[in-house]
Amino acid sequence: MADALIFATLNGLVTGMLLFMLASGVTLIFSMMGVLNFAHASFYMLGAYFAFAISQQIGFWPALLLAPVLVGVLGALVERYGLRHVHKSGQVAELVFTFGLAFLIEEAVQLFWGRATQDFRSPAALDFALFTLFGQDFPAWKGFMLCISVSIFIGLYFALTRTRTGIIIQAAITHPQTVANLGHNVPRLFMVVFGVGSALAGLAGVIAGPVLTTFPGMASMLGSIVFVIVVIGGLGSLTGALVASLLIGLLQSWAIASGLGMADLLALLGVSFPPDHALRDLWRLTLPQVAPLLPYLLLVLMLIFRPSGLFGKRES
Amino acid sequence: MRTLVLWAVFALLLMVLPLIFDSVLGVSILNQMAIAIVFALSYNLLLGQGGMLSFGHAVYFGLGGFLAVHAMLLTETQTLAIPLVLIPLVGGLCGLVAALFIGSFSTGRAGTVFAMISLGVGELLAASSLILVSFFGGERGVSADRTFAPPFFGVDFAQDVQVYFLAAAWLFVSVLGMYLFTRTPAGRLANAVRDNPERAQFLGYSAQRVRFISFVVAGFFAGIAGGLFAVNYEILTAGNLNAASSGQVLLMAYIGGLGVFIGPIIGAVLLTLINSLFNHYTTLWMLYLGLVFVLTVMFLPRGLTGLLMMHRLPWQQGRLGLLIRPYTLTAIPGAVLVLSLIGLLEMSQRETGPFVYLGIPLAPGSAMSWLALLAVAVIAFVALRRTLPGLRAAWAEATAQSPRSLEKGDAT
Amino acid sequence: MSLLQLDNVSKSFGNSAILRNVHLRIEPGERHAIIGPNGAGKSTLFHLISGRQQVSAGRILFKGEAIHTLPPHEIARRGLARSFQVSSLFAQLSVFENLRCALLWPLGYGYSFWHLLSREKALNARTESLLDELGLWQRRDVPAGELAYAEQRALELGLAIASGAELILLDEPVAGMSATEARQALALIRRVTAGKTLVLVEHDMTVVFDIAERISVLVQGELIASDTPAAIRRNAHVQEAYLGVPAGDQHA
Repeated sequence: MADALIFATLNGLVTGMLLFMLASGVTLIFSMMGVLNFAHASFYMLGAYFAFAISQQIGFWPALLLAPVLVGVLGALVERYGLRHVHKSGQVAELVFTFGLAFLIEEAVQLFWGRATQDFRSPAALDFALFTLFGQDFPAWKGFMLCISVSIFIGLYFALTRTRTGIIIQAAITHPQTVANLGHNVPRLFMVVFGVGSALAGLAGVIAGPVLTTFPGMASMLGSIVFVIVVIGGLGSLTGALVASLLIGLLQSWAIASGLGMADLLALLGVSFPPDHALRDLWRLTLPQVAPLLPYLLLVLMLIFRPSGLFGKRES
Repeated sequence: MRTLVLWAVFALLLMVLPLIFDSVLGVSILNQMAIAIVFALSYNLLLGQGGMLSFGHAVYFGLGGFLAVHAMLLTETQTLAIPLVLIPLVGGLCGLVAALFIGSFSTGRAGTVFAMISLGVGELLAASSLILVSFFGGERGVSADRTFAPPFFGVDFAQDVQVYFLAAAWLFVSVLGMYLFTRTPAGRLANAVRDNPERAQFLGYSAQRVRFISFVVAGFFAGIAGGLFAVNYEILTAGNLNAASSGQVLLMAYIGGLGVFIGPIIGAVLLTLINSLFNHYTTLWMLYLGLVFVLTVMFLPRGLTGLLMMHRLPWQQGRLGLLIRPYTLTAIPGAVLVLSLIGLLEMSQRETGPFVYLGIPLAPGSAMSWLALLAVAVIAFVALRRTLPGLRAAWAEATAQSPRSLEKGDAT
Repeated sequence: MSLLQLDNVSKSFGNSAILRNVHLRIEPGERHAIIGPNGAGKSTLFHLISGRQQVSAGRILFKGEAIHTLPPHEIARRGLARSFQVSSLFAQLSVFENLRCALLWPLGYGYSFWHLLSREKALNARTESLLDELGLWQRRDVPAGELAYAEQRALELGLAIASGAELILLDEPVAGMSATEARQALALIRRVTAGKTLVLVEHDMTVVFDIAERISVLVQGELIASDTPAAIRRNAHVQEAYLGVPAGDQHA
């Protein structure tokens, strides 16, 4: 039992930090520009695909550097020529634009790479077990993922609180007009934030691609979860995004590992139902089955009872 | 009086269409359009009329459809005998009840929070549908046979065209119903709350209540569309209530145009045609759809009907004629550019086998074909850019206010 | 019993106190103006009365009933209407539709979806006469977002008075208008608010002294005077607030 718990916790941490890499970008972009970027997970997918393509040519480690940069540049271009233009048509139009963009990117990926899963593997250099506990291996690659995501978190924290640009960004989050009046180029700031956010998503894709598989549906797989995290954590709060990411990552991991189900609960209560009972689907529910639902359930509950999320500052 | 004539023409059109498009494919497409129109119009009650962007409207469509199929099954197993013509109503009532429940907690605010709740609920339901197998049928969905329903005046609905008339009747009733709703206090207040929820409050109305009413009405008609789907296809699967289906209806409404009542009708008709016909010609039609969507959001935020409405002012001023020449001059290089780009994309998909594109033989294996198309595209692009200033000037002239309207204290 | 009663009303945002211990009485039929330097808290006062914001302390009574805990739509239904400093209209609806919406609750339609608006003769007739009164008849089908500034202000006023509310709050109704436009607007205001109670916030002193029977002066969140126009003119504290001359150094 203990080994399952430890591994579930470790896996949950890895997933959680990965989700945070995505959620932090969405939160920053939302805080600064008021736009919930549906295409964020698409940039994550592009990161994986670009890294795959580059690694085939010149190896994995250059790809680790180049792919996020490419994605970041693409993101900046999208902001400059797409989002900025749509901004005039209102908030609804912006949301619909990012939604359409996500759809378009998914189709474009299929155009260039087809629908099959790509054979994107972690580099051989990291293909060993970091440690073995109770007979189970913890792959070094996952350790690497954790290292990257934690460093990004630390880097983000320092960039936002210690650098001049970071402080301007923090100010622009709550008072964009004032910041503009002080002479800072707010549109350029937007482009930078969007670009960096996209690059982060791309980086997440590079490190997650080998583990979570690289296929055209990888964006939609994670996309909704990321929004759930951002809303639960509180729209506009990076701390909230961190807490919520870890929460969701751990909860899902534990749920899947536990194998518990309604059957266990019913046995505990001494209740049983005939196998063809009308609600038999409910009585046969297991936690691993319900695991993918948990984030959405949390989302809906949070939006009903506490729309500002756990740490939220602003709504829209 | 004029509106009565329009409705009569609409009814007449519905009755005559299957006679014009009487092939099997034609009737099938007409049925699809009927379903899509009701669904898209119901969506626009939320988005265009009420300003509520929903990413989960397929939930009401799907739930309505599933209950409808189960009702058809009950008739099949002789547990209950529901005439087929009432099945869409079953779907509608299911959608209504679902919207009553979900609307009770999701209409508190509009904007991003509403969109997120709709997304969350949609995903929740889509994920649950694979778990709750008895209602949703799991991977295979739920199917029924509509010919088991008690015959309606001798009609057993075995033929598609018979289904068409059932669908057309419900289409007429639904379009009429939704149209009339927009002209009631509740419907008009939905517009007001869309434009300025705060001001509506100061006029004595709870914005939440107004949105809730629109939400429930929209859910009802979406359920009817789901019921029609059940009757037509005799099967519902989890894919009918997921985010992709919700995205489709968003596309239909947006491309058609949110601001005008008939906008979604046009969008639904167009998209159904594209979905049904284009996938015979190219594997890339989804990509084209995505491109059209993004370009529409960027350059035509008011959709196709919005584009048409832009011409109202020149038409009123009698200056529409000014635009004919600039439009032709721009349209020709524009069309050539689009077609050559499509040609390039299509070539990339055809491996090396030669194929005929618009009557021109192309060979993806030969560099000549690629270079030729590329050259055509570049030339067309340059020519297009050259025509734009003339177009802009013509527009400025066509929409200039006449001196008469300037003197009556107009905006300076 | 006063029509509107503010008892010890205070409002703070975090640590900054916007309004402090405001006591105000508005009597039925009164024409009351609230003046004060910029940032004094005049708009906030309106927001508190109309329910747009919540009081931090104190209470507000309208016709004897506490309204400071009610949402804006409940307050509006009780006969209190307001206009906004920046026109707050239904931009995509025509002028006619804007006014008609304002008449829906007062004429008892509620949330009806079983009446067809085009068939409601009394409603449409009332809307027409309102259009006439406001001088907007020529522009009845123009979307509100496309109106000229003065027309928007007229419609803004129209939305406030359409309901037949007993207490009308006008927030800087003639701001940004030329002298002629302001004169016309004032005549309109007098006409349409006849018999009602009017509270207005204004900067333009000519307007204030022209229309007001009583004036309250708000300075840095506190009500420093509430009196007849003549008394306010003579009040030393008011002069200090506006001219910066300390009370003790002024002539009588």
